[in-house]
Order: sequence, then C-alpha cells, then structure tokens
Amino acid sequence: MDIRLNHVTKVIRDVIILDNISLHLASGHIYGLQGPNGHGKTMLLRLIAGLIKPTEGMILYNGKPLPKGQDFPKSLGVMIETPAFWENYTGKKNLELLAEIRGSVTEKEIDEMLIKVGLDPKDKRTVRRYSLGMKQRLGIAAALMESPELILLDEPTNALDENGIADICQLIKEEKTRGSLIVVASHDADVLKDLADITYIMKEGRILDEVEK
Amino acid sequence: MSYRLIKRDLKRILKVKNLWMFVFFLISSALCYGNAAILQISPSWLDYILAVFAGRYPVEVNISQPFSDLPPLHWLVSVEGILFLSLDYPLEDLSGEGMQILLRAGSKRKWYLSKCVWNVCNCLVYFLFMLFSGLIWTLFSKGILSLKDYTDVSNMVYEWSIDPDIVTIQMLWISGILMPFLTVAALNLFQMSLCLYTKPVFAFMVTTAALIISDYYESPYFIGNLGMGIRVLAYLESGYSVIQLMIIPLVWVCVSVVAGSIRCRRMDILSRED
Repeated sequence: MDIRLNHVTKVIRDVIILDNISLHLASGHIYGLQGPNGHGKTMLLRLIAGLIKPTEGMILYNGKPLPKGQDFPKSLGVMIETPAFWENYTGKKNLELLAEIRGSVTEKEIDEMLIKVGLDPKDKRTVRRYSLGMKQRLGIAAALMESPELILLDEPTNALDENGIADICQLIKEEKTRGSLIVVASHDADVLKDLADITYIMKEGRILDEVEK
Repeated sequence: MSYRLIKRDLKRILKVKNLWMFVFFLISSALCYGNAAILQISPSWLDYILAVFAGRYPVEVNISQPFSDLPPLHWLVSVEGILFLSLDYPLEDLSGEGMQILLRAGSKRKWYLSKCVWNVCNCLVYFLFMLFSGLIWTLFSKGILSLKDYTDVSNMVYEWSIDPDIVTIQMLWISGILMPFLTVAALNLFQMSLCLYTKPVFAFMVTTAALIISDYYESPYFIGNLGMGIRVLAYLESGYSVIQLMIIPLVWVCVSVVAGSIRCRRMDILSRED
C-alpha cells in the first residue's frame, strides 16, 4: 500500500485543524506522529482513515482516490480514541462481533490475537470488568486481528505498564515485518523512537520536522 | 456484508431502554380501560389497540384560550415516545465500537441504509409492544380476546363515528394500526436524517412541531393526520383509497432516505469532543 497526501488542509468551523500537509507513506514502514495533544495528530489519522474529508488537497491510495461507493480503504485496522466496546460481552465475543462484518477471521485467529496482546481468550469476564490496560490491549487486538494492510494507532501505549508497552511495540514491529503500513500517533517520544522509521513532529496542525531513525 | 450489518443493528433493538415504550403503551391503553369503566362493558383486544393511536378530530383554536384544547396526550406520548427512544442510537453508533463497524462496512451509505432498516424494524417492535400491552389490559379486564371484534368503547374513542354499515374491520386495522405504523416509521426516518444535518434535540423539536401542527390543521398532506386512526377512518369513509393515503408517508420515507444518504457520504465522522 502507498498513500500520498497532497497539500491537505482541514478546516472545521473556521478553525484550521490541519494545514497544508504533504506526506508519502509506504508499506513495510512505521511512521510516527509526535506532538502535544490537540495539535492535529488524531485528525490526521482520521483523515488517512477516510473518516473526515480534506477541505483542500487530496489523498491518494495506491495512486488513486478511493473509488465511488467506498469511503474507507478496504484493508484497514484502526484504533482511534479510547477503545470502546460492548460492555456486556467478553473481549473475545467483542472481537467475534466485529469480525462478523468482514467475515475474514476465524475463531482460532481471534484466540491467537488475544494471546498476542496478552489477554486470555477463555476469560469469561465482560469488558465492563476490564481494567483500562486490558481495554487498550483489546483495542489493539481489534485493529490488528484482520491482518490489515493499513494500520492506524492513536496512543497505543496509553494505560499500559512497561511490560505491556514492550509487548505491544513488539507486536507492531511484527506487523511491519508482515508488510503493513503503520502510522502511530503518540505524545511519547521514547515509544516513537523505538517504533517509527520516520517520525513527523506536529504542531498547530502543521508538520514542523521529520526525524529518521 | 450488508446483511451482517443489518443483523448486528437488529440485535441492538432489544435494548433495555426500549422497554419504556411498553410502559408508555400500557399507560396509553389505560384510557381505553377508563372509557370501558364509564360504559360498564369489557373492551376487546382490538378496542385497546384502536385507542392508542386514535387521536381526535381537529378543533378550532380559540385565540383567547390557546391552551384550552391541547393535542391528545396519550396519542402524543405514544408517537413522541417512539421518536424519542429512537433518537440517539444512530449518532451514538458513530463512535467507539460503532466506528469500528462503520470502517469495516467500507461505505457510509451502507452503514446509513442499515440504520434505516433498523429504524423501521424498531418501529415494528414498538407496535408489537402495543399489541402486547393491549393483550395484557384485555386479560386484566377480562375482555374479548379478539382482533376482529370491537365494542362501544372503540365507538366512544372514535367519537361515535364508527358506522357498522360502512366501516369494516379491515378499515379499522388500516386506520388504527397500518397508517399509524407507516406514519411513525416515516417520521422516525425523517428525524434520523435530520439528525445528520442538525443536533438531535432540534430534530426532535421539528418532528414534535410537525405532529402538533397536524393536530390543528386537518389534511392528509400534514403527515401527523395519518398517524391518527380517527382521521384516517374519516379519509377512508370520504373516498380516499389506502394507496392514496400510503403515498404520503412513503414520499417522506423516500425523501428522508435519499437526503440522509447524501448527507451521510459528505459528513465528517468526528468524536463527540470535536
């Protein structure tokens, strides 16, 4: 997968949220978006996901805009916002319900993904009784379980302890090896230093700098 | 994939808060029980059902006493209850797990159309609640357990306008069940589309205004009139065909679905904080 953002600007209620951003993102790489809260990282992820449309400029996926009738890239895994789930179901049931939509993941693969993120597929607790860290892990599992070509993660290490951060970083690196294009937004410079091949520093909706590993 | 989306939405119909509608209908049917007590007879199951969306004939507004003739409360509560309970879900479903579903659907239009199906099915479930609440009242009042027989209670609710020589049972089903269902479903879809353009509270206010205006201005072209059994029966008696009456809510349905679908494609999916 190859994504190009050409001079993209996003204005919401007369406020410039993203300002003239041009990027080229290619598969097999991890890209970092670093910056303080409220400076456009999450909006940029939303834009790449197709959730919001640019006010100016264009986004090309594999050299073309998305075809008519398709609003989001086909093979996409996303964790934006604090992960939210159906609270009365177990973690596994939540993933099964999501997987039902595309119908491309088996129960065995769901179990494997849960184990990879450090959750027990046999856990009978409902999500309501999960800790924040467990919900975060489940959110990452939801984003990764269908082996998407494009993965967008917003603050993936929030609410995780040191071991948790290491596990999740390892998992993200494995996805890169598989050939996915991964964009990670984080305010944590250390996490991005470890993960990202290129980190874009964002401020007030603009990309100020890029740091290569 | 569309089938899976719809299936998942339909599961959401059985939310606990929807049971409130059952309570509203129980309260609404109490009117029929009260009328039966006046007449000292036992109402039938059909009587209870016909009472819920009966409404009233239009009244002349007295400018000096504008609040002397308020719209029929049990009718308003029944329709508004359905509109209110259906208000939040589609927009709520644009964040959290709903957003995950939307992204997997791949198309905002598919997502929106599945919400339209959900909305109509939701109305259907509410009408089943209405049938069930009528059943409970019938059993409670030891009435006739029949959907083919009616008593003077219905005649009283319909302001003594049911002429057995003209009005058939089918006409009563159409006026008291079918047309209110189509009207409520059309208003619900209209409200859902409007929510994509403005805040849900304003959309709710617009549908409420449409209902209240219809109560005072008698014409089949004001959609609220078609949600009142008493007026639909009058239209049927005065020569309107069922098809003619059905066209109006169906036009609302089509306009709402198209307008919502267009808006949905252009809409930004933002978090609640944004």
